[in-house]
Amino acid sequence: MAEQISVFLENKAGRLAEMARILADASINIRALSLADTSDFGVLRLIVNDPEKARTVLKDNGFTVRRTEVAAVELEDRPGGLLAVLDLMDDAGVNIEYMYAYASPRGGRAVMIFRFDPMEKGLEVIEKAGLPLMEGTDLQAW
Amino acid sequence: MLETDVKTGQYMDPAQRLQRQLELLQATINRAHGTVPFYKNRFMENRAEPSSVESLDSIGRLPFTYRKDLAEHYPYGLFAVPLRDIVRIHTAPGLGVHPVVSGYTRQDLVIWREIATRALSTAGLGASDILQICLDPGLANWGRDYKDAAEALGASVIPLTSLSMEKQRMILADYKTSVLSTTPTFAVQLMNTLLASGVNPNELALRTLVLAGEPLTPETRQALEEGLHLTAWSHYGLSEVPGPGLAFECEEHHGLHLSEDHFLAEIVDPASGTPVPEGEEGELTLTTLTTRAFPLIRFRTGDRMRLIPEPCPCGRTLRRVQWLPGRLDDTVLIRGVKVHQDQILSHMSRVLSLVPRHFRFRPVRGETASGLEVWLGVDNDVFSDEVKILEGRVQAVSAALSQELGVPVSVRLKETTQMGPENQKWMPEAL
Repeated sequence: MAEQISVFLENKAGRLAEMARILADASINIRALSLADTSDFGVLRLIVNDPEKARTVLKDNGFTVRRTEVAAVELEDRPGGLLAVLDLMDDAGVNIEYMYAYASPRGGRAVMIFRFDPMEKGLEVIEKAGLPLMEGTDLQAW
Repeated sequence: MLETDVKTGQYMDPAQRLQRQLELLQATINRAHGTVPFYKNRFMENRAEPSSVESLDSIGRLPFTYRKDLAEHYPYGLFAVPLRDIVRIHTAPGLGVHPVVSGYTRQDLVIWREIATRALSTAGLGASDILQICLDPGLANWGRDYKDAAEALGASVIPLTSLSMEKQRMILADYKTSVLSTTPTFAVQLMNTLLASGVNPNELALRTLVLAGEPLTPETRQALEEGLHLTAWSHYGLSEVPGPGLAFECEEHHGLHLSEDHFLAEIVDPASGTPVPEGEEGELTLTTLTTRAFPLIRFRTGDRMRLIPEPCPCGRTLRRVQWLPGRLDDTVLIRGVKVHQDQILSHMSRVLSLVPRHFRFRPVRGETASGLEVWLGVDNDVFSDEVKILEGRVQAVSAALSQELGVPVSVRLKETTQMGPENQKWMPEAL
């Protein structure tokens, strides 16, 4: 599994930029990102090259940060690649809490970040289907 | 059997009244001491002998009763009569987890209705009136008392209902309401809604506003009377021991006449507890004289008042107080309901199953609506990676607080660094 960090942000001008600045100053590279927002607040989910350092530096600056384990699944980069995974999860009764794409610098590979419910069952389904699961270190290396 | 006729009580010779108050006070103190363990213990702790109260001035020997004492003895700890003599049980929001429960004997109810009736009929309410009552669930007890009093006067009553501003407006216009009972804040908001929708006040049957729950400032009175072409009457009451009309305006509209035939009033310095010189402001402290089920001895109301020493041209010998804005305890008035920080915190903790470390509160008063805004700081305990869980928390807290306090509560999640000074839990009112 891969490590994702989630940050709580108010839906207020400048908070997102402030957070981005803090990460940039600490030489943290953001690999994948998803912002789930409501009218009042947002939960920002990040895959970074150094999650431990990112967590520390954000916490030191007063942000509330959580660590969450997610599945980084390599999909077949063709139409229907994503659908295949979704169907598998449906059949197994696994819910998808959220998902977002990973910007892969390598051509021909599409990686999707998933949070399953329940997580263990989702991972079982992926493994049984023979889909490559990327570990945190693989993601960070890219 | 009534101990006094409420109508003539208003005009009783002052010297006679003082004598009567002393007699009733002594009877009340003896009864409270004899039947309520809380008072017996309190007196003992303060080395106060009931028999030592030989004059009204010597009431200073007795200890005070505070709002938190009422909530601590939940539910029936302060009743002075057996439960089987209680015919009604009222619940008012307390300061913490427990609400304040008060009880009434049949005679108490008669007296309270007479007090409210007197206040309403002084405001001109009669059999040909249609009274609409717009009070929050947190003031539901007053709604019932006003309803009973108005019915006794033969008026048509549209009783307390929790309806939207729109519905209240519609009823006001369509049902030909002639008297509206509500809080000053709500009256202003309703007026704004009416005027914004293009209603001409002269087309309304509304001619009287009975306002309770908050002090009525001269500016607000003027705005309402000019905006709606009517007369506003201010009433004062306690929420713990309903009800309304405990002090009421007469046609002079200069101060509120205290129901001194049923209460002994003192104005004390909130810090020291000593009575202030007559005419100076302090905290209104009340002792019940005719209440049987739930006597209160030197109850500190938290309301800021000053006595108006001059006799009133109306002829009533009940002394008047000027009700001043601002509170003297740690509570805040939200739509007429007293809200304390501890109360909010205890309900939040219960709903979240954790004690929030970062929170702020702010009364919100807008053009057409008001309530309480609660800021909940998102630290690691409160945070969740899933938006639906965070939204669920917001929903749960605001629903629980709205229900417990009886006023609308909105909850906002905030970053812990964006909440302002730590020691300022109550933020200034937002407009």
